[in-house]
Parts: sequence; structure tokens; C-alpha cells
Amino acid sequence: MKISLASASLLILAGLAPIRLSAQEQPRQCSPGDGVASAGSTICWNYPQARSVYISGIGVFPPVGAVNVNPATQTVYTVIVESQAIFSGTVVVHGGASRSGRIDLTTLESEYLSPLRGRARGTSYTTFLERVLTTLQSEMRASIDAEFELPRGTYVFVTHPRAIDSGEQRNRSFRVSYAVLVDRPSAGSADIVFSVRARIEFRRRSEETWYRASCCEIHHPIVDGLMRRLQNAVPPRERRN
Amino acid sequence: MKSGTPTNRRVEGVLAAIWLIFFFAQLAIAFYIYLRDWIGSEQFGELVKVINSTYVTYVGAVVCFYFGSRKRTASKTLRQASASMVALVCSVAWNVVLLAFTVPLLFSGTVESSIRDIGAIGPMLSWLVAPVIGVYFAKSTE
Repeated sequence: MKISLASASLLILAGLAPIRLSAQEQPRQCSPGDGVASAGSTICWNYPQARSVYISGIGVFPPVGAVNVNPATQTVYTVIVESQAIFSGTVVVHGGASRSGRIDLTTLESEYLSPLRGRARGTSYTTFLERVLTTLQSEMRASIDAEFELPRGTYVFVTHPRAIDSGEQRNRSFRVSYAVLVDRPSAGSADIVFSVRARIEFRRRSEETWYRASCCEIHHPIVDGLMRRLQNAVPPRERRN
Repeated sequence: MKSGTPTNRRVEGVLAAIWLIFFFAQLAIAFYIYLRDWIGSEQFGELVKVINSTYVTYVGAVVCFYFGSRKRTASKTLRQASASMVALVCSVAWNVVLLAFTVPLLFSGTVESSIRDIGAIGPMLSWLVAPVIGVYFAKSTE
């Protein structure tokens, strides 16, 4: 990596925008001449000094590597590189139609309600991001609609709306979409601070339009459930550290 | 007039009844699903508005004509009788088509598609009822 860690730390301490990888350091799609045979595209990276690399929607990888991706739509992959500081970059892989899943912070705060803040200890940033991804996809059976980094470095997961039990209200159906916001840890911090929000929508029996449920009675148990899963997802060995 | 041919007065009554029955049936369905909380107040308002605006011209004309023509005598010509039959058949056809977009709401239809369909199909089929009713009333006042 060409950015020196000293200058990176200075930028973080100054509270500026998160450090972006320079053009030469960006992960990239391997050209066909790279000899990687696959039906889709391949994202390559080479950060020998880093600890781990997280690629949005896929998971954590070693510092040097490549991964095949085959998105149906044009997809922007966010790449988080964790060394002594944390760097980020993006790779655009062209699929079919373009997909823009980005949501700004104002929309997140106004539509995704009942925020609950949590703290994960003794885990690395990239490992925790992968844990959030796994929890949402495997345990909550949610598909990820968008994964991106906000300008100030908060990493965001937004899930596709998923039907939930409507309880006693038999004339209404409900669905939930989660947003998990993971703050980029400051240098030297052992804690990862994150928050969980939910957008709950309902529609009555003869309606096709979904309406946003007002906060917060129905939100609390749902947000609470995901928070518990995320905090429990940290393996005991890591929690002891 | 041949025996068995309905009088103008009777046909006007049947015509007014057809329009009123179908109009109120539409409104009854809207109220039923609203009171059972199958739709919200916003969609209920939209549904009533589209039913109202689709029916207001015909129901208004037919009912006004019926109540405003109490003293007219019975028609005697065969031409008037056939005009009245065509008016009746077209009115029933138009109303049945429109009701077919509201009745599904009692089962699995959605209010948005009903509003869309009634708003589009009602005016689209106005040629079926507007001229016939116009001609029928013009003939019966001759």
C-alpha cells in the first residue's frame, strides 16, 4: 500500500473523511489477460501489509487475493482494507441494468426507526462486517439490498424487505427492512460501535401499497432481536479478548 | 302499443332502479371493506371518489328524468319500446362491467387496481350508455 500508515493515522485523528485508497491502490477487475478463467468478473487486490480485506456482500479475505463475482446488475463493491488504519475503495462491476442501493443518512434516520446502539469487543472491523453480513443473510434470512460506506466512514447494510408475522392483526401484513450501521473504529480502539434500525411497513388485506408503520411499539422487539443476534454472534473466544 | 310492451313509465322506473342499485352496491362494497379495515381511509376516499365521478352523470340524469316526469302518459309506439329495451340492456351491461372491478375486493383484489380500472373503463365504455340513454329519453318525451 502506498499511503503511509503515519499519514493515514494523522488523517483519522484530524477527524476528516475516511481514508480512500488512491487510484493506483484501488482493487480492480482483472483483465481477461490476467489468466483468470471465469464466467463473471474477478476482483483482484494486493495489500501485503494489511491484516484482512472485506468485500461488500462477499466477506473477509486475506490481504492478497482475487474473487470471482457474477452480479446480475451493475454493482458497486466496497472494499475495506484493515491494517493499522482502515482504508476503503470501490470497484464497479458491470452486470445488466444498473442498481443504486445507496441511501443517504437523512433518509436512513427518517425511515429506519427505533435505533439501538451496540458495542462489539475484541473483534476486528472486517471480521465484524462479515459477521453482520452472515447474521443478516443466514440467520435472519434477509437479502442485502445495499452495502456502502457513508461519507464519514460509517459502513451501512440495508436489507430487502422481508415478511414478518402480523400477530393478531390478521387483516394486515407486515414486512421489515433492517439497516445496520457500523462506525469505523478510531485508531487503537478495541470496540466496534454499531447501531441497528428497522423500517417496518404494513398493508391491509385489500391494498397493494405498503405504508410505513409509525414508531415504535412494533419496532422495539424486532430491532432488539437483531441486536441480540449480532452481539451473540461474537464468538466467546473473541469476546474474552 | 302491443300487449306486453312495457310502458315508458315502467321502463323509466326500471332504468332508475338499475342505476341506483348498482351505484349503491358499489358504495356498499367500498364501505364494507373500509369498515372491516381491509383498506385505509385514504384509499376509501379515492375509491368513493372514482365511483361517484363515474356514476354521477348517469345516475343524476336517469333519476332526475324519472322524478321530473311523473305526469307524462304511457308511450304507445313500438319504436319507443325498442329504444327502452336497448337502454335497459346497455345500462345493465355497463353496470355489470363496472361492478366486476369492485366485487374482487371482497375476495383477493386490491383497491388500487379497482380504482385504476373503474377510472379507466367507466369513461372508456361511456359510448355504450350515454347515447342510448340520451336517445331513449329524447324519444320518450316526443
